Amino acid sequence: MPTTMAILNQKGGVGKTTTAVTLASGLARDGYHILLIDLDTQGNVADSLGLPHGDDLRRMLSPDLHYPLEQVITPSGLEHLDVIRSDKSTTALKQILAGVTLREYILVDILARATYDVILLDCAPSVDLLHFAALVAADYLLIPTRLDKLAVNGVRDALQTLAALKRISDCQVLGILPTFYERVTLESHEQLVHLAQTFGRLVLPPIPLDTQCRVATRFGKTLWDYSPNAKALIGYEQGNRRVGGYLQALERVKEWL
Amino acid sequence: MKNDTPKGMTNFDDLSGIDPAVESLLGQVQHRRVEAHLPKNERSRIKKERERAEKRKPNRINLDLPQDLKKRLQLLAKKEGVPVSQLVAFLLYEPVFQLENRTISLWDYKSASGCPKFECNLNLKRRAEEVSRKS
Repeated sequence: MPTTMAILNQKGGVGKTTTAVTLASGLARDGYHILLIDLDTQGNVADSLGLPHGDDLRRMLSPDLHYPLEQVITPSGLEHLDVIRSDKSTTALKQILAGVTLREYILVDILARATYDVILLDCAPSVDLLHFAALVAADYLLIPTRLDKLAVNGVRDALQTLAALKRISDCQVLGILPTFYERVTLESHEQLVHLAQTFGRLVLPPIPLDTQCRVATRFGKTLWDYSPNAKALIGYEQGNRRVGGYLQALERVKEWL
Repeated sequence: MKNDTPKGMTNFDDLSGIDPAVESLLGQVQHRRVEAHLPKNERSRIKKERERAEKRKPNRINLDLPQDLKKRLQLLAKKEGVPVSQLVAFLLYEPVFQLENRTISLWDYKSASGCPKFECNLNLKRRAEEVSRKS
């Protein structure tokens, strides 16, 4: 059975796709067989990996098509990493699925048969059917959040949604991943303090704000390939060690597998 | 692949405690904020000190020394009025040169190590006894 991890926050623009793509490609580099599923109609996973948009998700989940998983996966071009792309057709898919019984379980049934080590679900920033399906299918939940008031509210909403699904979901929260952290900004620091005071040990070391993330996406490359020394990857220097960054987040994720 | 041991959280009633890495990062930022309110000369002194420490970093190495050896080195350094690190560097030149040229060998002091990182350990106690006997 693969380990399934949902990356979710009901607020948009908090770094969900960057986190999903960076962790997926990082795990793939370490030899894990990874399937990254884009559940967002914007299809940004494909953009981030330099792939054309595709309706893989619709073909897999639509009751009238129901392609097997093996026929819809798209090789990412990176070793050990496959993706299921999404595009605007996912909007129509959600409408079709609204009439399906036991729709919350739609991902569980399909993913149970997958032969991957880890499946990452990049969720859309909205509460919809696929959002619930992801929480039901996932073993673990990772919540990226920007360090501002509205995004922190999104964290609270995500936890409330998970609590509401407790009867049908065994998903455990692995952590809250602060993104876009600016060490030199008082506001960013105070929001991190607030987040740590509110959510305690759920808060993971933050990902520094780094323009390289945006540039890497523009070139359709992962951060590991485009800028292996990017601050967002290696974090901050502290004494003779480094704190924060996707490298540390990746190590945490590997501990959980 | 799947690890059945629960690692995450499903209950959010008790969220006490902070991740140590987050705590240290917050502590560092707090430290910098306090520093920013110091008088200008004090700030520039701390800045220079930090820069000096940064420059020293490539030369730095952490050593675990037997306690008695550490004490003797500290005493000697104090007596000679030099930093311990410089004294150790001074004393190391000759044996390092000898080891490189194979005029001395570690063979007699080696024993198998259980640690996956290193093949062998050195018997430092035996070395200390031999040196004190010879001198």
